[in-house]
Amino acid sequence: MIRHLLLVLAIAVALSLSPGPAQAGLKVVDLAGRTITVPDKVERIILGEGRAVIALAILDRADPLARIVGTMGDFPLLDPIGHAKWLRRFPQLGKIAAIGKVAADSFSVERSIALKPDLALFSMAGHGPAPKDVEIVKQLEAAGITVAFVDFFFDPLVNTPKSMELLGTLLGRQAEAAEFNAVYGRELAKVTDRVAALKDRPLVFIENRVGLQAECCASIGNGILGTMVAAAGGRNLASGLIPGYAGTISLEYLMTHQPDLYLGTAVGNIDSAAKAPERIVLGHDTPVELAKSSFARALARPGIGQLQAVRQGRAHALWHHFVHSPFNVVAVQVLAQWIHPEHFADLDPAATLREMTARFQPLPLDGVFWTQYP
Amino acid sequence: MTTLSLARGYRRFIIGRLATMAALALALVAAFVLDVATGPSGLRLGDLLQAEQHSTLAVILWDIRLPQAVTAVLVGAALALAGAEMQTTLNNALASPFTLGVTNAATLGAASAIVFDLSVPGLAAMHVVPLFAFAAALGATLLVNFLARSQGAGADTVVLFGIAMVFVMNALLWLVQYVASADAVQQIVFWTMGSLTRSSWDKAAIIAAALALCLPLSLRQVWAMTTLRGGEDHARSFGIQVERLRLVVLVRVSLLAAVAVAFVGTIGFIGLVGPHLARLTLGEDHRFYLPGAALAGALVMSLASTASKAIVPGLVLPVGIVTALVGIPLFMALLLGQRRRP
Repeated sequence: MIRHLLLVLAIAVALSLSPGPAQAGLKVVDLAGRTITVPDKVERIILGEGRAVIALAILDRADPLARIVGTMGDFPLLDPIGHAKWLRRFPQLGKIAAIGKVAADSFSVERSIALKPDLALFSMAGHGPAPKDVEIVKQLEAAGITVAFVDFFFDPLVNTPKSMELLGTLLGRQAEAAEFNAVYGRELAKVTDRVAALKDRPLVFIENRVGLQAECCASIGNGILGTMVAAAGGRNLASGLIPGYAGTISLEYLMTHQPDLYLGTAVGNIDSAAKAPERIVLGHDTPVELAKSSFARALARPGIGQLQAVRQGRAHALWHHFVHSPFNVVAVQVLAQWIHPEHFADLDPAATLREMTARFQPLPLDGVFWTQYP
Repeated sequence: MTTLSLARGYRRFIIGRLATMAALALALVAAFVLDVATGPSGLRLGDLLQAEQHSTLAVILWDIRLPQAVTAVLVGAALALAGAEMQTTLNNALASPFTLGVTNAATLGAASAIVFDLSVPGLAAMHVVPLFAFAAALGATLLVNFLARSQGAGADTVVLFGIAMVFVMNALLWLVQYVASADAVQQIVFWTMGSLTRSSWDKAAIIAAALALCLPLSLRQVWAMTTLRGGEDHARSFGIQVERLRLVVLVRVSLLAAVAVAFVGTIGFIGLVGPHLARLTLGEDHRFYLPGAALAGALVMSLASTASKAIVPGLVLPVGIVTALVGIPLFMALLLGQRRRP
């Protein structure tokens, strides 16, 4: 015990003595488990996942794009409405050099090196290079570029604070990262502390990206939203059934192993609503009626409409982009309220989202990000 | 040999073939019932049949199991019939409905619809993908047909144009995937692996209509095709216009394969092995060979559908993965049995 205390004390002293904000030369471990050295300066950054600007904005609050010199093209394609809002607020977003499209294969190492970045920030899951792209990482490192992996996806609740801390260290924004992590931890604990005392674990069926493929029912096995459902006190129907992260559950199995709760993730947005009516519409600028009507339509499919959870009014839909966002803790609070309504009536996830984005984002999140049926 | 013994021999030949066909048909009925009777819920057919309307059990029977089982039979029959005609008219035992790039073109059509978010006014996105797949498949094979026609429609010419089409379509598909997001690529891959889960009654009806249109037309040309098996010159000496026959067959094959691929994705092996099973059991007489191939294809597909539900209960295993694994043992058994016969 005393040895532990001494160790903590020693680390605290070491941290307080460390010079400058950038902690240059310090060895840190990234989310891929690679040991990297904090570079002397991080003035130029390339992003393997365009949506990472949302995480960077938590740290570089005055001008989140100031250091970004190159980015993959996923943001406008996957979240067009959100991207348009960012573009209105930061017109220079449209002028950042492209280092690839949305597939990792389209990432250009040469283009990236030519941009002379100090740091290449990649996601474990996403649209730029992943840890398996060993050659790309080697080539960038050979060019003197520090490569760091973050993760908000595979193990969101564990890796979000870790990723923010790593980013804080690399960008010399430890205080900002710590401030975010404190709020994040506090909001998460509001759910996990209470869940720990609960014995009941309702069965939740997650239908992943409703309407994206013709067959029913895409679901999540381990990690990602499954982790968030577990943290909110639910039991994921597909865990143990799907061997990996994602898979397809047979509709017949679902109908004979009835979940207590149906949870669909929404990949539709106000622009796609007319073109792809089978997707649930949520997110930026979505009117409540559209969210409701699109969700009702998704639930009217044969089989899904017969589920007890749907008939008993325990069907819910969540904005899919929470799975790539550091604000995933808001989704955990929403899930807790759905899974254990009697124990979390006092939570106000909408307020959490409002407060966290007001404090940590350059622009507010307006719209409907979750809905329920009826 | 007297006329009488010849006639008797012929009658025995016909009865033997008809008996084999009846056995195939019986096996198909059994496989179909088995397919409808199995599912991840473990519910028995008897329970399902007694279900009330709109209940969970009724949905399982009428909206899940039956359309899938029916689609399996129809797709198996369509692909095997198309394959049988293809093997005969191209005089190539390795030909299948997909030899001329039908699958590759269909995949390109589907991928384009997925990646570029294409839409057709008044049509749900879920129907847009099969529509583009169908249009691309039909377009590509008609192009092959047109090119072949201009070059005299020799069997080698058609195959060469077909192979060229396969490569062109693949290259274009890779190009589309290159600009696509990881999610879209995943969606394309999933689409490509044939799956019966996307079956529905209206899709089954369209496949049935294509089959109902093509099968009688095929049967009208059984004598010409049987003669063609004796060689092109042999057929020509009987006054058969071989090139014309080939082009007509290509149109039928394109229609059957395009409809099947558009609705259930790529299901390999059936179109290749269905005809071989029929040839091994029924011989080259196309009066029996063509309907026999359709029966054999439907049988293998139906068994594959049952197997795909049994392998990982609760999860959907695309049936395209299973067809070869189920079909190969059947095929090998027949082939080895044939060898052993004197």
